Amino acid sequence: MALIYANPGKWIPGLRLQQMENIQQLTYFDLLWAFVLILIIGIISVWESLKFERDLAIGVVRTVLQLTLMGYFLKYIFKLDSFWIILLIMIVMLIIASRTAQGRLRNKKVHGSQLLIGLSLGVGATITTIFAIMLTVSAEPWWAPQYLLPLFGMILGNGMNSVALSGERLQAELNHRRIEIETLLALGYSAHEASKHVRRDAIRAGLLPSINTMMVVGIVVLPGLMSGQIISGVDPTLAVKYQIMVTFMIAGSRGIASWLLIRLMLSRYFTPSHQLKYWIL
Amino acid sequence: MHKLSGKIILELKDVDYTHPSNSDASSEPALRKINFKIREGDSVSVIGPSGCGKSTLLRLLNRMADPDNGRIFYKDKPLKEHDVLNLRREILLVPQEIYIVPGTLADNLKIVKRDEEITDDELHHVLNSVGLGSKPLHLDSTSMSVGEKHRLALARAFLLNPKILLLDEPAASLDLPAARGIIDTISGFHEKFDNTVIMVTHRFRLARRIGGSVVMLDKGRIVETAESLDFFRNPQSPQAQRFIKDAGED
Ligand SMILES: Nc1ncnc2c1ncn2[C@@H]1O[C@H](COP(=O)(O)OP(=O)(O)O)[C@@H](O)[C@H]1O
Ligand SMILES: [Mg+2]
Repeated sequence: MALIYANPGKWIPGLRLQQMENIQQLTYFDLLWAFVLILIIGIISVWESLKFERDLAIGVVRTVLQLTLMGYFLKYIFKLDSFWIILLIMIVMLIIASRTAQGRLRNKKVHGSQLLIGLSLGVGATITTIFAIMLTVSAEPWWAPQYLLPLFGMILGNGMNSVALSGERLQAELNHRRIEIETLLALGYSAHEASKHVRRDAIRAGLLPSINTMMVVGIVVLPGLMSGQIISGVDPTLAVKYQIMVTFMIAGSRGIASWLLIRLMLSRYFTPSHQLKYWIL
Repeated sequence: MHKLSGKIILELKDVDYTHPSNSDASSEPALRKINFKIREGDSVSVIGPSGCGKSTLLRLLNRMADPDNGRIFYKDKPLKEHDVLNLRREILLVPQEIYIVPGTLADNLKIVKRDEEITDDELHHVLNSVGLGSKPLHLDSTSMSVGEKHRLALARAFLLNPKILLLDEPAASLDLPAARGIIDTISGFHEKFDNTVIMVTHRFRLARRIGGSVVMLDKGRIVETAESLDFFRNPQSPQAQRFIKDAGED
């Protein structure tokens, strides 16, 4: 298992590249072995009619292709050494992440939800990344892609999960609590007050994975970044400090992105006269 | 029969409403060209077969939705010119489906007033008035029967003592004796406080019991308005005649 956790570390170029020779090698046979786990999920999916098979297959192909391409791509980008290219890449990453999160929403009737997701993710990831840049070892230049891209990617990836979870939960709760919301509105509650529980549950859903991780990190889970650093020879206490920082940043971006999305998206479900737009539920 | 001399408190002029839908298929209007006036202190039963637009009509009156065309006046002022949140406490809707807060009976009553405290005395008093006087305030609300839930919904409304009480099927899915009990509770409240009551029901016996006047809807249109006694003795429209005849058979 440790190898599987360690694997992502290999792709994080923020590590000292010169130490990469010491890294434990992973063969294609090892990867095939890991693929058995995907097969198990596939079997569960068929068995329990999760209807996940197609997405799972696509996901596997994309994981392999995207990561491999990313490896070569990063190598190339690092050589180019241009801030604008880095910025452009980050924007593209943001768009892809928003689209992925949007795809997970069951109800696509909310007008402009794509934009809202992009905005929340973007704000969450940007604020967190700015913190990270200010905190991390003073890179030269400050936007050095070896640090910035993997950091941004990690923050964005978590934020994406977070907004997808929150958005999904928001829609489920709105349907589930329609009677509650309309009863409270009819009692003269504002839309904000009437949707308090919906808001709470939706924001919590996005943050929960982070809170859970923080509870068990280092005990049950060895985070990929840390494992990777340790394997590649970094002092474990330093790797730990990095990991703490990253854990906090991920929680931060998750919190900001979920909160913002839920605030923005909920406002789309009500008219200014505190009426629930029941037809888009 | 109630005061017929009261001032007009609510007036609908040529009101149309179609439920918005996200699909492109245009849906049928739920209400068409609705015109009527309600006097202060009156009790009005809105009757008609299921799906004729009764609930939709009530929802327009407390601005859970706004008409596509036409206008609604409350106290001679367009509904939209009143502050919506205050308006909803003056024109109070008790929806057909009752929201029960997980918790005690008291928790369920307290949602009515967000900021002010309600004393236990007030709670006991209102529970008495809806026939739940024997229930302890700490009663687990999930253990209540359907009839008790309907009474709880009434108790919430009575706590706010609204100018106009909008009741959507206040005795839905209760047998006739239990439903009559609910209607009598509503009548008692109406007579005591002189509020205006607009009650939606698809059961004409309940409409007859509460008295006042009757508005009959069919396919989103008003087909007849009359005093309750006249309506049930001598219905004019074929729809009303059929409605009463069909109901009499079951
Ligand atoms: N939420 C809704 N969305 C779309 N159409 C609705 C909705 N609620 C009611 N309708 C339609 O509006 C019409 C009137 O419904 P309603 O007012 O609930 O009737 P009633 O209360 O008399 O049974 C019906 O044709 C119904 O299908
Ligand atoms: Mg109805």
